[in-house]
Amino acid sequence: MNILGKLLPTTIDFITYRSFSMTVPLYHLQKVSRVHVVDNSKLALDGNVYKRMPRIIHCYKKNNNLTRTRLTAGLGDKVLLAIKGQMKKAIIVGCQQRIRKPNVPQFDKNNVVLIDDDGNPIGTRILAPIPAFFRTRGDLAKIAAIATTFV
Amino acid sequence: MKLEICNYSGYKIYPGHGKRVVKIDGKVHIYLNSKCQRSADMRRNPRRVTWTVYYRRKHKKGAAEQEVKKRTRRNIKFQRAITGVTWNEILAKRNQQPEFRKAQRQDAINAAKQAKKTKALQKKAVQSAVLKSGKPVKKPEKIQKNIPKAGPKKGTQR
Repeated sequence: MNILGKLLPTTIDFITYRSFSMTVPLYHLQKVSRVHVVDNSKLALDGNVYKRMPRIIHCYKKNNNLTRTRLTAGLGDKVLLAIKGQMKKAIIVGCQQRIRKPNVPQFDKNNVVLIDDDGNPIGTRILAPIPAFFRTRGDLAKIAAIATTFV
Repeated sequence: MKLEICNYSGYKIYPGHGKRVVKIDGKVHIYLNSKCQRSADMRRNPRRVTWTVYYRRKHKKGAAEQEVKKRTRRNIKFQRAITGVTWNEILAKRNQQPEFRKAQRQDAINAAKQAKKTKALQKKAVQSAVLKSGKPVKKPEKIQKNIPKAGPKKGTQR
């Protein structure tokens, strides 16, 4: 293969083997990630239909060794969203990221549930299935309370 | 630990394997490996994919022979009497010797012949009596049935 590479011109050389590496897409949720709100609150219903999809502006994470520009959020983390021109806090309820833990599912969409500053969800019902570990974690119990189905 | 079953292939998923995916409509799919997941994403019907359990079930591969063996019932032969004939009588009839039966048949034939002969004799006697007396022998009368005349059939005209 190498001998062949030397004989052929450099353009074909580039095609036969990649000179850059590619990682699997990571699907982290971070700033500017577009997100789907699965509440039944009015803001959620309007926000999903608004001209711009709800987006994460900030991730609140307790123990992060990451720099500010690389703040990522996953299942169960609190984030700050921009919905319909407003800022609102939310908790991530479904993630496209593949998490290698037992019984943690992967979702087809990045789902989010709106909460107020105290941590109480704004809506009265959640329209999508929620990971089962929300029941056991104390800070997510309020969201588990209004959930319909668990995965 | 609960053993899951792969939604696509039908195989058992042991702990530490497999992937759970929640679709947009809220349905949960459990896949054994990425082979199953990718086939499902390609919208390949597992009933057409040869190595899956669903295909094998549909085309009845392998398992059917076992089932057939288990299900054959043995018909129990049960000896019992029938109304009008007791069990002993049935047994007696069954256990008759062939010579005995032949003898019986012979007797029956002889009896029939005898009956015929006597009948023929009787007839002759009657006929000779008739000839002597000159009366015609009565033939049994034909019974005429009362058939009404067929008029126009009611209700057949449309």
